[in-house]
Amino acid sequence: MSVLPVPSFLDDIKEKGARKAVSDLVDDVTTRVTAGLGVRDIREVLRGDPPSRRPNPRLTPHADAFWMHMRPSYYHASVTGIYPTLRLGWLATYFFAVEIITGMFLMVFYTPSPMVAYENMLNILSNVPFGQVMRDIHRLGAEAMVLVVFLHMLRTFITGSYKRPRQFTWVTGVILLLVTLLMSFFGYLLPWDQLAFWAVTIGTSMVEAAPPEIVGSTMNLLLRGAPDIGANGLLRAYLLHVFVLPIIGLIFFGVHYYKVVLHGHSLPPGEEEIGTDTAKRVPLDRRTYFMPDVLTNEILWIAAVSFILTVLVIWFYHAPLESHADPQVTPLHATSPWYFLWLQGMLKLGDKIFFGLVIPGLLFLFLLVYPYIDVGKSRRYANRRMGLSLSMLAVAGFVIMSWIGSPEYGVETSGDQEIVQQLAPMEGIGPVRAISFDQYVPGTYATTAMADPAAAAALTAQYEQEGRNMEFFTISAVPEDAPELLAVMREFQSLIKNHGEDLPNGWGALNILDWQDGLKRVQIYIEWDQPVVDEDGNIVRDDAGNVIVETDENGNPVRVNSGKVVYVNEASNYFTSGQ
Amino acid sequence: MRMETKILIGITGFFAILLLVGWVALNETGRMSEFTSQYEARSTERGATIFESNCASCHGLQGQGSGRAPALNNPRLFDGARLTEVGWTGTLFDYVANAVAAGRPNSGAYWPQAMPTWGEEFGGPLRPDQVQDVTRFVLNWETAALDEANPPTVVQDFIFPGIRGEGDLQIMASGTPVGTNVQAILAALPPGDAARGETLYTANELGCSSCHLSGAVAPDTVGSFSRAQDRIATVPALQGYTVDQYLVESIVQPNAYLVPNEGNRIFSTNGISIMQQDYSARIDLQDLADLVAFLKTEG
Ligand code: HEC
Ligand code: HEC
Ligand code: HEM
Repeated sequence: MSVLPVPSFLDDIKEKGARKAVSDLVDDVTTRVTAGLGVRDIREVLRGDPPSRRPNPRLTPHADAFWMHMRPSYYHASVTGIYPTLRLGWLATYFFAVEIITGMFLMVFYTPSPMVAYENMLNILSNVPFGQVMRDIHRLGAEAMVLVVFLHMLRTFITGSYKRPRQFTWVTGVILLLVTLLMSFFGYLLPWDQLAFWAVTIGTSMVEAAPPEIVGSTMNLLLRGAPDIGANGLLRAYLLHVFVLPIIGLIFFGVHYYKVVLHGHSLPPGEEEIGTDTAKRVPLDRRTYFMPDVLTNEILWIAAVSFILTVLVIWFYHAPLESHADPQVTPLHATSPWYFLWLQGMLKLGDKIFFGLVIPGLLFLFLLVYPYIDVGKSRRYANRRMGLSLSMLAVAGFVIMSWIGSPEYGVETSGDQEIVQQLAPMEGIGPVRAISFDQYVPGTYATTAMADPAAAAALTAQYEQEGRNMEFFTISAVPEDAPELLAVMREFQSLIKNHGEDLPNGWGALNILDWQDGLKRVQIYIEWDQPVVDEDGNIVRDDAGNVIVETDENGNPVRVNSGKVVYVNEASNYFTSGQ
Repeated sequence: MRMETKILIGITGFFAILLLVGWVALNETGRMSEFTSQYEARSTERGATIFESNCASCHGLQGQGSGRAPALNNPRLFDGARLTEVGWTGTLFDYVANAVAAGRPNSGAYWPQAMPTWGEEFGGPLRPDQVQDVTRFVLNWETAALDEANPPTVVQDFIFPGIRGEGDLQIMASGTPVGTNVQAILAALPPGDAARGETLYTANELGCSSCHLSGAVAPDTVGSFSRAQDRIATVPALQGYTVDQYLVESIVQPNAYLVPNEGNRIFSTNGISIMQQDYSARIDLQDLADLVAFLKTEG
């Protein structure tokens, strides 16, 4: 016998013959790597057979190996199905891992500076193989994680799993929820596009309102690194996103999961006596061993989710990238990320401090201490009508407040701006840019003439008499071979009609010019009678309910106009790309 | 679920993901180049917007140039002549981006104002990506500029003997410069030839019409005569002027009387006309007489 493996292996061959020696070697290595399972044991695991030797070799890794020792060696059979966990905690863990992996990939190509951050994003999209896929997974994964963590909280609430002895598990969970939200939120800023900049500006503006003023302004300074978000703010957001928050998250995840294993997964509420906790007392015939059942279930679960995620990012979802962040240009409808829309909605209700800070702060505190307030012994649904109704109310409240927070609700923009935004939005495409390139026939088209040459000629004559600039106001009928142009004009027409209130006697025109090789200049023009408005900006009506318009000294209505110029490049591919 | 089923689904799922990733890999090169061309196309659109609001007042809406700044749709910019002339060895993109970002000191006496600095890094208003946007837009004139069958309208250009404008130089008389003494000039002014005056007025060398044509950035050429009469009749400081006197003074001493700015049409700032200040040193008596004669034919 030699101490070296090779001569000893040679000895073995001499002793047992080549076949047996090789298979013994493989078995030996496998047992060492898995910390206890030999080839045969693994084969049994994969076949779903019971273990053929005693003591059960499948328990050894749980005792001897680092990663496995964190997982329980068996579960109560009642908690291994889809119900009651929905495997949401496992999914949250999975998404955390996915975010770390894709995040490290993106990190390689990213520098947190306003000078280059946006350029880095362009580079990731245009020059890094798999860059787009990685970015899409990271973004979609982040949003999914917020959703999953929220649903996981909801399920632990509904099954009453926060009750004694799992109160502290819940507390660490609330902290994990906060970490998840903040991580997603600060990640939002990193692409340094308009979406990022304004969402985070809105999101952090609450901090500034914190009373007294010195606290608010100091906190704002600490967070943004300057009165407004700039180079320092971006760097801070980055460090929070890739370093501080993940570390806090990992620590609390450790505590959270430790507590879960310590107390065992709570049984479905109906399965145990009220006031008892039998999760850890699992009868022999109710044990489901981690190996093979739970392990394969978990792997199956994430394989399915990974597959769905991959399909989504290849065909259905691309992370948005708007134009470069610009503090001078406020988007028409800036919103915070969807999971903070409810906060934006709260702000619309009134006082910034009360609705933006006090209420959310109290809500958070309430969540944190809830298990210590609700000390009712029963986890059964029938005995918890109050609590369950409360949670459903809270979910409904969340949805309603989010809706209030969205631009649909109560944001007043003037009709002309709204129409321009519909036709040719600041970000994205809109119908005007999506016309096929050969249908941008040069000329001016009016919503009052559309495809009717006689009406166009009449308007032209009228404008000539009014002494208008005929280079612009020579109206043409929309040509027959430009149906898409006509469709856009129709939309324009109906938009103006819908705004009959604030745009009385309104009409609109599209002026198209050849500008450069492959480049058209399209001007949207809207003209209307100026309505009279009171101090609050509301439109004034006469007794018959008609809108009153401003008049000049001769009693003629005052006409006002506005519009926007966009350029359309043939190679921009608006029509085909769909984004 | 039976273990076999789970394993089957797991393996199928794994291979399906692999296949998808392979599919992405196959399309990656195409996707990346499409992204690049699309980005550049949209960048040109943004550049057009920036150009219209920042540059068109000097360089003209269509880049044709004006009395304030050279043409940018100029064939010489694209065929390499301009780069050779200034000794630029880099790319045209860099040349333009550099001119835009850093601005230009005023070269010679061609332009009333220097090219402003636009780049944020040099104190201007545009971010680097915006400088690139507007540069892409300027470079997009290339096809039109080099289209020999259908040459672009280039109103104003740098004048460099030997490359362009040689013909223009020859139409100039080569007498003594007129100077700025209006009374002395009027006493010696010979009869003028309106036709030659028009040639001088429209030629690149003096560039009068690039500012004045259709009132581009200065009072319209048409109506020069009647406006002169009106001003003499209504402006107290011009009382007792003759039309000749007014026109001569306008050319050799642009700041003596300033036509008021009209809203956002800026003709002068701080008492200095944007009109070239050095015509008195560039034309002789006969040129001036011809120019005045021509202006008097313009209603
Ligand atoms: C105040 C008038 C003014 C404005 C506004 C202006 N320019 Fe200029 N530009 C000039 C002048 C004058 C020159 C010539 C400078 C010189 O003498 O070299 C020039 C030169 C240039 C040149 C170099 C041309 C050559 O052939 O060397 C480029 C390119 C240019 N400008 C682009 C722009 C762009 C793009 C903008 C808008 C962002 C702009 N300019 C705005 C006055 C202006
Ligand atoms: C850089 C642009 C520019 C160029 C080139 C230019 N001008 Fe002018 N000119 C102006 C402006 C601006 C005014 C009005 C401000 C003022 O009173 O100086 C003006 C005023 C005048 C007036 C008075 C017009 C009036 O309505 O009272 C005359 C005459 C005139 N220019 C002639 C000429 C002639 C001749 C030339 C060529 C030798 C010339 N200009 C070249 C910009 C220019
Ligand atoms: C990053 C976020 C989180 C991760 C990764 C995570 C992970 C997990 C995991 C793996 C479990 C095991 C059981 C299961 O899958 O349901 C679990 C249980 C639990 N989690 Fe979380 N969790 C997170 C956030 C939260 C939140 C926000 C709450 C509530 C505020 C919460 C409360 C609980 C409770 C009470 C249990 C015990 C459930 C039981 O015993 O039945 N967790 N968590």
